[in-house]
Amino acid sequence: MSVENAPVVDVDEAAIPVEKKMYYRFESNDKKEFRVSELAIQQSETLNRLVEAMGYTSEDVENKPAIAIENIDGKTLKLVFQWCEHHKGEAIPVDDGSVPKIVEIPEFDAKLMDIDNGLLFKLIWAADYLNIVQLLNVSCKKVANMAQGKTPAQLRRVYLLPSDEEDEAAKRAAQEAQDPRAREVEEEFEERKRQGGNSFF
Amino acid sequence: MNRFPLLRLPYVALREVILSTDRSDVINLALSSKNSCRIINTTKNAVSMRKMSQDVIDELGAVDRLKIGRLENLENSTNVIKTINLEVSKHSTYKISLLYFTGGPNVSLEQKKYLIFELQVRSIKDKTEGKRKIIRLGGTDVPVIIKSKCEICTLWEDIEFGAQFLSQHFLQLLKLNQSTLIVDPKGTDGSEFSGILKIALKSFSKEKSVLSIANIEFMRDSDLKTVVHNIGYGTIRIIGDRDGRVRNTFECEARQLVNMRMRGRF
Repeated sequence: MSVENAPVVDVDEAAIPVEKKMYYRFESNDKKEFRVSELAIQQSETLNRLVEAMGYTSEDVENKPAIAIENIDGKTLKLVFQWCEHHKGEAIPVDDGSVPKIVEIPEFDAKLMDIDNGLLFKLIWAADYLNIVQLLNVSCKKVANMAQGKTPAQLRRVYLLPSDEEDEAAKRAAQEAQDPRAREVEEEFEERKRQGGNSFF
Repeated sequence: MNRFPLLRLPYVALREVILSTDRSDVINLALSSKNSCRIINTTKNAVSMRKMSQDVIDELGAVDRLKIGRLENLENSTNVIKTINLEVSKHSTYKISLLYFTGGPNVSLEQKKYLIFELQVRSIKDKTEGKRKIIRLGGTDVPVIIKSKCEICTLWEDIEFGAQFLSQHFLQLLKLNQSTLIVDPKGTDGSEFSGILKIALKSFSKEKSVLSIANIEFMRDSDLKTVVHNIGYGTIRIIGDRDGRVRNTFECEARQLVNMRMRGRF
């Protein structure tokens, strides 16, 4: 199945599927609504627990407001649900402890993740937040592959890593930024002591 | 260039990226900054000898071993003994070993971890078998042949320059705890051997060090003088042929002198 044909649909552009299975309605933080099958939701531990706890009937799903996912935008959520629909029914992978981890990126996932790094960052963030183990595995593998054959200097550029000098400078700046307040607290403490008070807090 | 803000990922995702990264790439990532190294060492794909198992260390390739040596130096662990065996002979070699131990130096073998690698110094004109590669050492591209997991053969137009370069590089790269100078004049070209011997002595840490001379009967007087004159060694080991003889008398200073298979008065 291609990425384009994945069965996630925006409510305003597709008809409600005729299958008898229950389709839950979710809403992104930018008010985009999605219908996702019960089986696809099982890929997300977080959403699966949520819908179990809610105990919705088919009528509830239709009549109650869509479940809001406030931390994720519509563009990202669409990718997440496309992935879940494509992989619905698949077993959740269990970590076998191998290091480095052996992760294959299937063709569908590779096409789905053929996106800019800003969106890839949001997708990983969403996979982590919604606890979708295999989506987190493949998206993190894609990021890991960016390191292949790179020198330390190239990796600093690819991953936007500060150098030791930059880290030191940031640490000094943070300390200096904290100092005025620390001085204020100290002055306040001294003032109270002068006034004869023995308790500061 | 396509960039990705790795450190802004939540920790679970960041850990997944590190766990999915190949060993060589994760070592390079650790070398990119102290902070990256610290984060990597919180995962199971650690690059510190403290965290790696001996099996993982044994699987490392030659270049990765060299980089781990550099990382251990950055970490400045007091539990790692870094030794260099500098061999000046027909085939000059810098053999570097890192020994990690926990709970004091008298611990059992199981609690110790070893990482060994050696760099040989060869002429680029020599017919050394193997595929040539370029590796970057101290900002310089050096042609090499990787002979095994532990051996890198470095190739130089000028062997003396190569020896000098590697000596300086390792002095800067590794804070060594122990060093052994192994001198074997058998089969060497006189002038080149003398030159490399002088370079080796300049870069060689004299304190608590060991001098080992093999085939002393082939040693020229001037070279013998160079190697022992005014240097106080921890130990001097002299090894010769069973029937060989020290041709001349010489003075040396050491806490311990070991004479093996040699005739003569000491």
